[in-house]
Amino acid sequence: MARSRSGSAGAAATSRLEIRLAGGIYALNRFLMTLQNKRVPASGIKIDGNHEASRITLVLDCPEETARRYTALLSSLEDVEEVGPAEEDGPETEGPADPPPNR
Amino acid sequence: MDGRIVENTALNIEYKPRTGSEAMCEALLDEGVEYLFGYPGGAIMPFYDALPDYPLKHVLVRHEQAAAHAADGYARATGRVGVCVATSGPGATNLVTGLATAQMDSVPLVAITGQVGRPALGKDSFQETNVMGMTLPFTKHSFLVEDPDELYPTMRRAFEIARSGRPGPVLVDVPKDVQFAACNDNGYRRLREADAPLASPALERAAMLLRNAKRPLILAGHGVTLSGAEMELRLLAERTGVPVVTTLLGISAFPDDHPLYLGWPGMHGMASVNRAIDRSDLLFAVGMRFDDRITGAVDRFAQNAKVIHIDVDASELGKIVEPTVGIAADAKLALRTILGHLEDAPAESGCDEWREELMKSQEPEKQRRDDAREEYGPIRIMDAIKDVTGGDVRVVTDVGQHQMWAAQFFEFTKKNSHITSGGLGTMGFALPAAMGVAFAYPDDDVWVVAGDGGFQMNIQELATIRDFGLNIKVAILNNGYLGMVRQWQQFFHNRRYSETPITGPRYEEMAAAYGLAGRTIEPGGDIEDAIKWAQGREGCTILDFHINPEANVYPMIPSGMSVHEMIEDDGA
Repeated sequence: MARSRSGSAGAAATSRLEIRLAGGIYALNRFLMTLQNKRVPASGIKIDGNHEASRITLVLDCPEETARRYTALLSSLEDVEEVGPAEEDGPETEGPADPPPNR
Repeated sequence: MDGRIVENTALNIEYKPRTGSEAMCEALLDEGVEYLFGYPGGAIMPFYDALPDYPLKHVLVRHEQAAAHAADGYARATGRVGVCVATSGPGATNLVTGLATAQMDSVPLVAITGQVGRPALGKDSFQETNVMGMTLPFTKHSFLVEDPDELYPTMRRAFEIARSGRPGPVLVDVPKDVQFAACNDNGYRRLREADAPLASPALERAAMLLRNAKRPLILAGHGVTLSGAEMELRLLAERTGVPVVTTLLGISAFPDDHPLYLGWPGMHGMASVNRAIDRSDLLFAVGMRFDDRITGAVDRFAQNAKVIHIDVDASELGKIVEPTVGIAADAKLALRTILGHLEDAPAESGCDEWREELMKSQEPEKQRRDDAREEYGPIRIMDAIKDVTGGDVRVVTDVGQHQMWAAQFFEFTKKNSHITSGGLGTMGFALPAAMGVAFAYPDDDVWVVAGDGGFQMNIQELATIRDFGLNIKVAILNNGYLGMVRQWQQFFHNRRYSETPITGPRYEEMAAAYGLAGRTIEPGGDIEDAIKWAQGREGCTILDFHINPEANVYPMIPSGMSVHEMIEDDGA
């Protein structure tokens, strides 16, 4: 489950998710399209990986309950092998490097 | 294997590796597919070449959009996965509306498309489109199979994805050379384990809320039909005495003539049902997604109610309406578990006054309808279809005013007998979807109710219907307008009927041109006689009912508004 930086379920917060995705450009395409289709409030994204698997760190800018809902959605995707909270010392995800996919 | 013929010298048998097309057909057979709806073309020719060697029945439609809708209708009627086939490029793009229609209404489909050969991919080759990329937003999943050895398992996987959890359409795009290529059977492994058992605390809480509510309502959606939970829904309503309302797609999940059935709410739903939701203190919503046509202004929807929301798609919980109790589960499993928690509940307890209040609130509406039944028009047409068929009929509607009239006035008592495009609102859906229904249930009566606008959008399928002798009866409610748009122009655009008057052929003569029978019924004509005539003939018949061009659907809640702004009649 996403780890929120806010104690309140309804308040805006930032959650960092780490997603292990099946490898290949098609799986990545499907994943990014889901972010767009479902208007996932991603304020940061970092993608790393090879042909066997992609590792995505996603920063969600939304209330904790909403983040839980998006986590459930993403975890049920066919290409998603694992979803969990990102480590604090994981890849840097915020900043100007990667534009959010749905804005 | 590399395609060489291998000789087994011991038994003197030649083993010829199967082709990708053969693997595709075998996967379809292994999935129990009976009908394919499709249209051949260059990039799918190897598949069509293999097809006659397998006991699969192919229905040649006249346009690929109709193939997708026919597969959709078949899937909705049977609960099985519908299959449609098209070639690359324009064939694939023509499927798009059908796939989006299925996605919005959670219908399990597998769409097979041919693709240009692998060496030609990405080179703007003849009839090449990136159909996988194009359909990503409205398919549950999509595959481009570039490895022949992956073809069989991918096909099987596509079916599993289409029907599992919240059903939806899956696209399998297969390059032409992959269809030709030799392939091994890599076997098929189910990749995911069954869902975890239901968490009981939320279900117990839902049962407790149901017991204690004074003004509860059950709001049932398409998920009830998709999971086959009609009996559980009925048991729950009868055990608790809680009145039932449905979404548009939930119609026929609960019998219309049941004393606990109130009707359906929403933009053009029954006024009394909209008010009932507004008054209720508990909304037990199952297998539905709080579509904006149901809620109107969300912040003023069911303001007095606690909400129990059960849906198989966890991401639906809280998406539109924040539930008091949210349960991510299959409708049938959840209802069964809740029934278990209510075993000791006294029958129909606790909300007698509420039921009486609701019954009383429906009387003026019923009276208005009874009065309208005396006149030539949509209500009388719906009544006559019901009377002549005895109600044992499947009704497939298109999109527009007639869709609302059919939903409002036809009394659906047969399970899963109302089929319509709810989420996407696809004009042109009804005729091809009815083909799918008729193939699924060849002995049943299937009626299409359509407007003169939508009917013309897939009118070419009359040839398919004639070729297969399908027993489909068509009632066109012909008002010479794109009626629903005209109605909105009347109310919200000061009667500027911009581009909504529409002409068409003389349907009776057009039917004859297709080798079918048709009749025109002018205002004041004998509706019952025409319907008896149509019902009594073998095969497809077309009835062209000329109705009042400016007849309106009431009530209507203007978009984005609430039950408090509902317009109930011409004088409102």
